[in-house]
Amino acid sequence: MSVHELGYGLIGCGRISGPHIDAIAQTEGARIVAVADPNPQKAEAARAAIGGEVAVHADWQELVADATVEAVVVCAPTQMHAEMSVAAMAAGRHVYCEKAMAASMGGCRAMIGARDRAGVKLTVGQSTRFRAPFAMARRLVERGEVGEVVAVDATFGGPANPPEMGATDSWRYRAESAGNGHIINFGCHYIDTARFLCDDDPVAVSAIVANRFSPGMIQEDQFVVTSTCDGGALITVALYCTPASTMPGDEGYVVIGTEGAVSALWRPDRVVLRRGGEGADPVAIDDDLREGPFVRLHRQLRRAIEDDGPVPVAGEDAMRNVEWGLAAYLSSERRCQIELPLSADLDGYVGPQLARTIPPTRD
Amino acid sequence: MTLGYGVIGLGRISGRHIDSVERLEGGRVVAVADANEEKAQHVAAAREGEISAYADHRALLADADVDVAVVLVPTHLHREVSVAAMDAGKHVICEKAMAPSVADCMAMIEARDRNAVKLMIAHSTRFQPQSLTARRLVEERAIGQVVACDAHFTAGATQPGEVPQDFWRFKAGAAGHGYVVNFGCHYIDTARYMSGGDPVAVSGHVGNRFSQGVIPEDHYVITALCEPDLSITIAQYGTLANYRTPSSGYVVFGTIGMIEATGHAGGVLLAAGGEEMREVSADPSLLQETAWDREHRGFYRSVIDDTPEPVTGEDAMRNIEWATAAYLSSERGCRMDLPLSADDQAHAGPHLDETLSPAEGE
Repeated sequence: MSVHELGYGLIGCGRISGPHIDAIAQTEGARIVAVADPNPQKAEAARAAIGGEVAVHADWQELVADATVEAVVVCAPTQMHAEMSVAAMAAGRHVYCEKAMAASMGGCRAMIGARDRAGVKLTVGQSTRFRAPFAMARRLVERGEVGEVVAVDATFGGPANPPEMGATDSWRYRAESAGNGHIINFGCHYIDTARFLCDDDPVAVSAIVANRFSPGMIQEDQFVVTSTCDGGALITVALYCTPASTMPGDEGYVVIGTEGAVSALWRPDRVVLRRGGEGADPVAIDDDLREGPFVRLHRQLRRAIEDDGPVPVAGEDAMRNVEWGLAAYLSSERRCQIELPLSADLDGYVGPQLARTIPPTRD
Repeated sequence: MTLGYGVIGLGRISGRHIDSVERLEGGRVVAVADANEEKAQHVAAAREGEISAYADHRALLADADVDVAVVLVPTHLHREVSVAAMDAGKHVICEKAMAPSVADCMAMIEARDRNAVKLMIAHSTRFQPQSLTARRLVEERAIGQVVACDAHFTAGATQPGEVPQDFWRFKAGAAGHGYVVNFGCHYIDTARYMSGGDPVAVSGHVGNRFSQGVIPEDHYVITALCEPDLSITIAQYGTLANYRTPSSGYVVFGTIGMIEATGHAGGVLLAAGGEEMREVSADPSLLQETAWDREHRGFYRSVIDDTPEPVTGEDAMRNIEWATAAYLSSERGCRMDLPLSADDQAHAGPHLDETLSPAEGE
């Protein structure tokens, strides 16, 4: 493919910008021409990492107005995704927005509307489903190796944030940051991958959400969310954060089908298939899935822009992950099962927010 | 002191109980009863010693040689038979599930108290070596404070045309035969035992995907908030092939580690304090006898010493309360607080309206 070199603008130069810088460097026809971050040191560090001629903007709106920018990568905190993405698309830029898509359903819908009005491409960085073991597991499911999918179970551990540990300068500790709870922030990856694995979508959500060890620091450090899906699958996603975080580092999903089950773990990558009467067979991951998730996402997006083809993760698709997360909050609050889609009067709902910004006390 | 045991109901599970009582020092099977009289006579003749065979359990309960009634009839008959046994002055060890409703369980507990006898529910899975090993590690604080216990299982769905011949679960009116009560009561009992948590609020999805009209449900996911503060999630999925998922079994998550009890020859896997996961073997003494042996020995001691039964009625009733709350939660789309209201305590879950005909060729 010999393609025109598209100018990319990167908004937000925090932790997640690194993988994007690397992936865009490996994408033919893509080059970062501008970065923006309110913190000049972070912007400068990103500029240095990219190399070559890169404009540095203190204000993201300047970047959006920069005529050399044709595609914008939004790596800002979740609650700013909608505003930034909509402005970029209104200015005619294609948008790759980090997950979670937006803090509210209204934000998601505004992004989809802006995309349609501007006739540009919009994709959301649900990168986990592009990780090799999960992509391989999906391939096995598609081939019918487990029969019809009955359920997907995914359980994760992680670090709690006890008050004595203090806060970092991450946006997650800011009171105004909506959409920074674990359900939206991590859960949107878990549910996205689970939906991808079973190719089914939640229609009712029932959840128990709790904060055991991180009071006042983060919205929740524990959740168990069960969803019944349109096609009959059940998806159960759980996260238990503890102060010592000694739970297994491997993040895994189990897809249970009528004829067998496939489990997929990441770090280390492992895919295991079990079928009736047979043992557990480790499955080799296909070579074409081994490329890093950010590279695969950026290459697919670039191709979609070039060919006016389908984006790797559509707005409508990613929106379902936000909807699931918000439904989980509502279910836990109301102690009832929540049916999807959420009604339009919940468009502004963003789930629980921190009562106050926690000042940083550690790196 | 030798106690005479009378076994009521000679279906599939009875062999294990009779074997254990035969191995029990101080216990002897003196009578058996089954509605199928031939079966009763056959079992009585096949076993050592003099065993009376009865077609009617009431005749067995009138037998003065019987000190302990072992109640192995279908779940919906547990209350009637157990209460009659206790009113006849017999101690009772009753198979799980205790009874279809919480109200039934309460009636059994009342009968125990008014007759001053012992009543134990045979939740055998907590006497399995892996359950005992996991419980010991939790008590030793090997994983710190328990945060959650998750248990996921598969099971064969029962499709129309696959009904086994003459199995009580497929008879009209047989309440308490759904997967939530029948299998789930083992899972919740073991999870409670391992984690030390008792449900105080229950949220459940109960559904039927492949077994419509044959069994009330073939899958469920039930999450319970517990006291002390931890959660228990139990899931079972009916499938069309017989296989174990990689995660079949129990995982107990703690603040500094986790235990996997997924059938490793009686032992468990432990990851704690940042160390690699390692196998913790069951104490060899646990492998010398079966779970049913331990269960019967424990019950025998409680009768002889007049101490609390290893699984009391109140304890086992919590499993039924969990199951009932799960059914109600799923029906109502709401989380259920425990204890249940008096009305809900009478709820007995779904049951079949008509007896299903066995599949041909069975």
